[in-house]
Amino acid sequence: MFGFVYNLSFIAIVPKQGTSLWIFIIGSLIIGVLFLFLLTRVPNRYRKTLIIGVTFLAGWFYFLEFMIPGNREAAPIRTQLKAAEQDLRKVDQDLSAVIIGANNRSVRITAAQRHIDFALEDLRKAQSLIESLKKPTEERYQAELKKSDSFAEKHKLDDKLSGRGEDGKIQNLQTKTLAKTIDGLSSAAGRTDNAIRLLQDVRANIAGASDKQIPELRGAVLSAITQTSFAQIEISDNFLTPYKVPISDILQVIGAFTVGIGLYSLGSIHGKSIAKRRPGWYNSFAFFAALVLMTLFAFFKEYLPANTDGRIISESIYKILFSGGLAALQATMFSLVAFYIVSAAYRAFRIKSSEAALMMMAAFFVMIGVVTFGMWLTNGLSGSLTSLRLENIQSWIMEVPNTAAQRGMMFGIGVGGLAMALRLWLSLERGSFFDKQL
Amino acid sequence: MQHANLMVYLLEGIIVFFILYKIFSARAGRRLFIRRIPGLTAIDEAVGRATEMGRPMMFSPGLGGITVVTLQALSILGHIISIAARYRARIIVPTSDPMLYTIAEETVRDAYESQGIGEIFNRDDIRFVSSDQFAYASGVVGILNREKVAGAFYFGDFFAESLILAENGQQVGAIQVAGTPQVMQIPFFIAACDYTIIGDEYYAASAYLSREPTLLGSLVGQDYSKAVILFLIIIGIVSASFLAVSTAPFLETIMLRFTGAFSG
Repeated sequence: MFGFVYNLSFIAIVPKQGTSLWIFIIGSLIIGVLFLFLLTRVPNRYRKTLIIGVTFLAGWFYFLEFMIPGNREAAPIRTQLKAAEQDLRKVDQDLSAVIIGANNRSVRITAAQRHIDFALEDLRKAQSLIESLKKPTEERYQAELKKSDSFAEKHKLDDKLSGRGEDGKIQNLQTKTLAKTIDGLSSAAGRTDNAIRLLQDVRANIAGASDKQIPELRGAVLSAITQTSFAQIEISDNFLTPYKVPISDILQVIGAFTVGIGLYSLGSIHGKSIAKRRPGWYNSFAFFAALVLMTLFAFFKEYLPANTDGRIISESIYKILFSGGLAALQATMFSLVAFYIVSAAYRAFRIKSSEAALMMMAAFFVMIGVVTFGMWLTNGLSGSLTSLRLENIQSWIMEVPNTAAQRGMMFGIGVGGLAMALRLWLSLERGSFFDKQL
Repeated sequence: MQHANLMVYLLEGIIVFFILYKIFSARAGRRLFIRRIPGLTAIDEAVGRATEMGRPMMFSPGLGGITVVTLQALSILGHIISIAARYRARIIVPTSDPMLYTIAEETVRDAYESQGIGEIFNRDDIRFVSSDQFAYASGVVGILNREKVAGAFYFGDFFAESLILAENGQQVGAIQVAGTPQVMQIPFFIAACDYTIIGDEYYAASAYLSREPTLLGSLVGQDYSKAVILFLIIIGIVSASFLAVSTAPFLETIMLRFTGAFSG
């Protein structure tokens, strides 16, 4: 059974060149088209059941992948990193209290020092655990490579399949999974190392730090928290995680087939426009011309022999079409936003109600607070009046009420999205894709 | 966070429980109230106006691919088409994703057929425009101006092109209703559209328009879940504030356990 699964992993490897590659491409296309054709032949009474079944299974996969904790071998490392993160959050709280002017400054600084020491200890333990896990994983990887090599040699796969990466190592599902684990461990080790260096720096300077330096030290602590948090993520793959990419690829394959349908739609609309000489039919002609020229020259610039006249001319024409045509048109469309902002702002800021007046006032402070003139106007305010400087009012509006409102919306949107996803997953949603027999 | 932790199990469990419980109780016949949402009420007005003027409408599902956001947009599209079909009004649906194009076509055809007028469904009204952001914007602007649309609906994921679309709709004199979960784009829609669906009203739209018990139940379940989140936010605020001013070790430990539980 395991042997069968092992052999199956080589199927994902694409043939190298020549006839077998063409057979692979054409075979895949035929299988894809056949599969889609068979789907259209499914009797109406079974279609809903089929959609529900596929949606439910795919939903289960992603649900389990998220809900099952990361691999057990790395659990002790995650525990250490988590402990370090907790300690660092305490340091952050202590430094925040110092910044807002809590009266027990020295107690807070001493507490922060103590927590940094704990965090450093945890991080060092995590580092040694990462190293001790990395070694056997690398050994397993080497053993897997040997096994794959001998399998490839026995079945003469090297002559047929493009299964080796640039480093010459076999890239089947097993070796890719182990390589990803090693990458995750290496990256986690790097991040842990970064966090240790940041904290050593904070530890060395915190005792004699002035009030102005404390925010900088807090910034370093926050960076260390981020590093520790990312390090935990990088070693938290579970047994389903390696299959996420291949399963997402299925969606891309289906998407690739629908590109043809999209092109058919475009061709049909613009073709009819030319045939019936509708107003602006020449724009439709431009569409066909652009489609053909871009496709041809993109193909020629890649596949004509290097350093030939044809290749050089193709590259030049492609560059003109892409940079001189497409990119310029995109930039033109984007630049229109600036003009539309003015007319939209004019309508939005007409004071018609008390809410509009409030919005106008907030907009005034935000706009004037980010320009040099605004900063110059209130430059003289100092001491306890510093917070009334226009740039400080501007950042308060953006960071406090604006962020609070946005986060409030995000909570609602998140819960709404979860409810919608749940209804889709359990086929409770009423829509054309579930409501009735298609 | 790559995988769930204990607090996520708990929180998601509570949210899922509320949503499913309310869905099944609504299905069992319990009457549920939903407040008036002006933006959604305006859809009828827009369809009526377009019918009177004899001009088409346009529904843009945005730039998202096949995501929950876009599927919700398609659900709203289905309801708008049902209203439009009653008056035999025409709706153009430009899409930015070929996969979405096929699903949108199916949705529109079904909505016409459900009203018993499948014969007026015009395949060319559902169009794939482009997957490129500004090429799509340019295509939609072209449709707005050429067809002189009387009503424009923007539901889905929108980005920098939101203002380009809405301002052009404004210039051709269309009644415009927009809704997006992209918080950064909401101000642009508010400035340029007649009605804007804000925040989670976006996910309430299909329940509001259809009054289906399943959707209404889900909506009430979402409100209960938001109440739980609000409660947690209050505890979080109190925790963080206590930590900033107190050094009592036991209090600190309890608060950090609570705030740390959500952090990864």
